[in-house]
Parts: sequence; structure tokens; C-alpha cells
Amino acid sequence: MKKKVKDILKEHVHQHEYTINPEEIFVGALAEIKKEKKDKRKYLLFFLLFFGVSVFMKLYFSDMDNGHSIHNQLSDTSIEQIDEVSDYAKNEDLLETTLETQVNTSTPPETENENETTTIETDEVNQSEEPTNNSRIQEFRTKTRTETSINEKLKETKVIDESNTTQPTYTKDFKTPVKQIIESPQRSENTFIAAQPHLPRAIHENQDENVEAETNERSTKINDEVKVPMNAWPGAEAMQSIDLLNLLTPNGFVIGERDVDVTDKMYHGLVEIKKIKPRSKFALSIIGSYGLFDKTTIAKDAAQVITQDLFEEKPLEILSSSFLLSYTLSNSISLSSGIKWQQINEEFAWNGNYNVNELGDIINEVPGAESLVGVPYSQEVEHTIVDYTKRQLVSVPVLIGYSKRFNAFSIGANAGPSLNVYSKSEGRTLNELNLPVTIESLSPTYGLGVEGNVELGYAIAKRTDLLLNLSFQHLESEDILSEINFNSLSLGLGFRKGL
Amino acid sequence: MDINTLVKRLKKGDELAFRELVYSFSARLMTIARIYARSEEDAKDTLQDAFVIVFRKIKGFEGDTEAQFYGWLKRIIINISLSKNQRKYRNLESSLNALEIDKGFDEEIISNMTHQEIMDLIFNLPDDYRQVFALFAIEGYSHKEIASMLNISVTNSRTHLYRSKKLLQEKISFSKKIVIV
Repeated sequence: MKKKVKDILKEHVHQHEYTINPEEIFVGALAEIKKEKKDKRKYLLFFLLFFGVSVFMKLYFSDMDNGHSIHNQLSDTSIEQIDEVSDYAKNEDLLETTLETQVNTSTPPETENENETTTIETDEVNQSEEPTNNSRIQEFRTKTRTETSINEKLKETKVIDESNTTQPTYTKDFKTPVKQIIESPQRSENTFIAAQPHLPRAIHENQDENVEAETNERSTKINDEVKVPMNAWPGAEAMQSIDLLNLLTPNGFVIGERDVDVTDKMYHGLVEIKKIKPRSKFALSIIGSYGLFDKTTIAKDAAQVITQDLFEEKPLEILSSSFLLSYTLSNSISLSSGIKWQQINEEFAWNGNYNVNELGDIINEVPGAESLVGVPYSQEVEHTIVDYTKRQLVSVPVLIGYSKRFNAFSIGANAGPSLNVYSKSEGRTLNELNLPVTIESLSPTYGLGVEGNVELGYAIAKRTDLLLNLSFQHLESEDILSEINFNSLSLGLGFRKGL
Repeated sequence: MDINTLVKRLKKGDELAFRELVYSFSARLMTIARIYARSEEDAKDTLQDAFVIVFRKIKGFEGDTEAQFYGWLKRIIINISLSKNQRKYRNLESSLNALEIDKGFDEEIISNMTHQEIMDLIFNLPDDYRQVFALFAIEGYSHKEIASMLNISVTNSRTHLYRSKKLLQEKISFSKKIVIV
């Protein structure tokens, strides 16, 4: 073609303006751009929302754990009863008044030596009275300690009964062991006489009848279960609705020969149970998953768009296994990290033409192609290739999670960022001439992602949960030619073992 | 229109600048898109996709003249168009069998043709010929580059160009006869 003709055609083409409505193009393009932005915002919003809910629930339930969780498990009536008792406990003036009343009106107990006195001290009041029901109160309360404490305290009580010199006092400082208070020569400033209006009456009713027998059988009861009558105080019945560790029996509150330590925090119907062997804060989770994924490849250079459409990569499946070590930050919040291995399987399909020599080998440059027999030969053939591409991906997630346990079941959710490494690829790709070639490469490509999961757990053994896990993952990585957006949804099964 | 200002505004994500871009270049780019597309609807889709890519990739554009910017836009249009048609490069031989062109190319006739007549000639070429013809004659790509872009052999590229020229000659001669008659 002569240059002049070529220039004429070029000039005409470049000057030509096709009749088109630009508004239609603008509206369509803008809608597509906004859709892409909306999708990105959606992922970000989901993550922020999840994080916010986790923080809110953490704050909310931490408040509940600070002394209110037991209330939540009680009926309204029970709460009223306990509150009633607690009100008494908080009113020191009333308590003191009650104490004086009881001290003055109570019937002197049957003691071996009536001439000896028991001293009851407070911060402001020093009283010296004959042994009254207070000694019985003390005796009763001493029984409600742990088995070890029971032995020691009963021994001391026995000494007190025998000597009738002083009587130990009670404390509202729940964290201070009674034994220390008893043995301490100087009492805490918080020490007061915790006489409770309903308690002595209950003890009277029971102990008046049994005190003699109890005294005689004390030595044999030390090693047995200690039963507190259910009508010992108004809030006792309410405790039946808790029955956290089956401590309550139809006959009363059983202490001793249990795997738990009922500490000195028992007070006016409120019981805090502390486990002797606290759980480790670390747990190991192993989960295997199967899921589906969607991948979007965006060419950095528009020229690469050509290459992208020369073949198809059809998503098939994603297999993954994760090994995560979690650390419990609080009762419900945990932080976990570890290794997640994933294999992404795709179908590679290519349909096109290429030139082959007489042996069927692909030759890229047709002109000058040399034949084995010395005669140039080439033939263009149409060919379809279907193969499978496997990509192995290793990621390191850092997840913050929230979980809640309901008896044997637990439910939780985790979310956080992850660092991803494409570690290995096997399959097909196109070379610089857009012909399919086999690849097997180890070419790490780093990228950041976000992942989250919801998991349901069921305790199958001590400190071992079976996990059903539904996880979502969004990865973004890039290489020289393109950006790869990757979304997956997987269902997994595994277990978690407390260490 | 100041291209530098337009590009700066586009890089900031200015939608009004994007609208201005579309209105300024749609007609010319549609011509390019139509040459490489198989239908007008395909050309519109190509043009829309091209503007989306421009908006997304504008931060990577480092030119400062209108020629460079237009060249970049044109290249995007061509690449998208060819990628959409890539799988349709089959059975070209069958569409060529009916062509028996032995008449020479008359330069004088082309010079005397109107702009619309020339564009009609190009638009009415068979799709596959039109693309090779435009890439070679208008865009100035070599046969090797065209072969790579269209995923065909260099020989095929040469063949397509030769036959497209022959077809144009036939059409030009035919139109001349009609005029004479």
C-alpha cells in the first residue's frame, strides 16, 4: 500500500467522529465505577461492624462478669430475695443495731463454762459479753468453708469452745481469708460483726434441736459432706436456681469432697465459685475446610487485557487447613494466630491457533521455520487445551475473637487481617506469544487480606471442643501484570484443645 | 480543553471531569471502537469499559500532551476490542473463499472520495479483515505485533491484510462504476 493512500485513510479515521450519545456512555461507566467502590466499602463496613460489635459485647459482658452474672441467672423473685439480704449487709448501722439486739436477747448457749466470756470487737465497738448465739453463728459459718478450712476452723472452734476465751469475728472483706482474720492479732479496718437478722433465727431453729448431737458427732462430720440447711437464710432457695456445679441437694448446700473450692466469698446468699485448677489461657485449633471461591484479575496495563481474555480460568474449589494458637485475653475475648494453608484449584481452558512442524511441535516463528528434513514446513492448527491449575497459598492470620459458652455448646466469631503468600503454582499459563505453556513455579507474592469466621463448638471431652466453622476470606495481591482479588466462603470441621 | 488540568482532576476522582472526558472523546474513540468491534452495540460496550479502565488507571498515566493522552485512550480501546474478539478468529478461510479481487488500487479515486465514503468502506469490511487492516494501515503495527495481539500467525496477518486491501479495491471500483453509470 502506498504511503499516500495509507495517510489518507489514517487521516480520515482519526478525524471521523462517530455519532453517539455520550450521556449514555457516561451514565453506564459511572454506574460501574460506583458499583466497584460500593463493593470495596461493603467489605470494609463488614469488618468495622464486626469489630465494633465484638468490642461492645466485650465491654457489656465484662460488666456482667463483675458480680452481676449470677443475678442474671436468677429469677426475679430470687434477685429480690438476695437484694433484700444484701441491703441488710450494706447497712452497717442496722447490722450493729441488730447485733446488739441479738446479743441482749439471745438465749445463752449451753456451754461448758458459763463464766467465761467471748469478746466481739468492731472498729468502733468493743464488747465483752457472755457467749451467746454468736458462738453458734461462728460455728455454723465455719462449717461452710472448704474441707481444709473446715478442719482448721473447727479445731480452732473447738479450742474456743473449750477455753471460752475469745470468739473469732466475721469480715466483710471477702478477699481476706477468715483464718487469717481469726489468727490476726489486729483486725482490718473493714472488720465488723456480720450479724444478719435472718441468719441467727434460722440457726436457732435448727441448732437448738441438733446442737448437742452435732457437738458429739463433730469429729465424724469433719470428713463428711457439710450440709447447710436450705432454710438457713432467705436467699438460699434462690441458690437452687443457680446450682452451678450441682452443689445444691434437696437437703442443703453441700461442701467438701468436690473439685471446686468454695472460697470465703460466700456471703449472704452470694457464692463465688473458684476452680482449683484454672484453665490455661492457650488453646490450639485445627480446622480443615472445603469451600468455593471467586477470583477477579485486573490488568495493571490496559494492554494486558488482551492476554487475560485469551484463556479462561474457571474456579473449582478451595481446600484449606489451619493451625491456630489462641490466647484468651478475657472471659470472652481471645487473640489467635497461626498458619493457614490453602490449595486453590482452577480449570484452565484455552482455544486458539498455533503453528506446528511436521512432528507436531509448536513453532512460534513461521517464516524461516526449519524442518528436520530440510524443507520448511508449518501448519496452523486449531487446538483446545483444558488443564487444571493448582495454587498453594500460605497465610498468617491475626484474628480477634469473641466466644460465649452455653453449657456444652459454644458459639463464637473471629475476624482480622492476614498476610498472604502465594507459595507455589502448578498448571498452565500463556507465554509472551500467548501460547499455553506448563508452569511450576515457586514465586511468593505478598498481599494483605481480611478474613472472618463464625464457629459453633461442642465439648466432646475435657477441654476439647468439636468445631463447625464457616469462614469468609478476601485477599488482594498483585504481581507485575495484574491485581488479583480473591473471595472465598468455606465450611470447615475441626477441634480445639485447651493447653 | 487543558489535558493536564483534566488529568489532574481525574486523578482526584472528580466526576465532573470524568463527564467532561466522556463528552470530549466519545465520538472519536467510538470510531476506533467501531472499527474493531463486530457491531455497534459491542463498540458501545467497549467504549464504556474503556472509560471505566481510564478512571481506574488514570493515576498511572504520566503523559502531558493531548496526543499522548489520546494515544493512551486509543490503545485501551483497541486492546479491549481485540480481547473481546479474540476467540472469534476461526474459519477465516471460509469467509475469504468468495473473494476474487484482481483489480488494482486506484489512489486517485481514494483522494476524491468523501470522508463518509471512506469510513463506510472501512466499516463495511469483514470484521477480521477490518481489524488487521486498521492495525496495520492506521495504527502502524507490524505483522509480528498484530499476530501477537490477535493470536494468529504472522503469515495469517499478512494474508488478512492482503485480502482486505483487495476487498477495498473491489469496493472502490464498484462505487466508481456506480458513479460513472
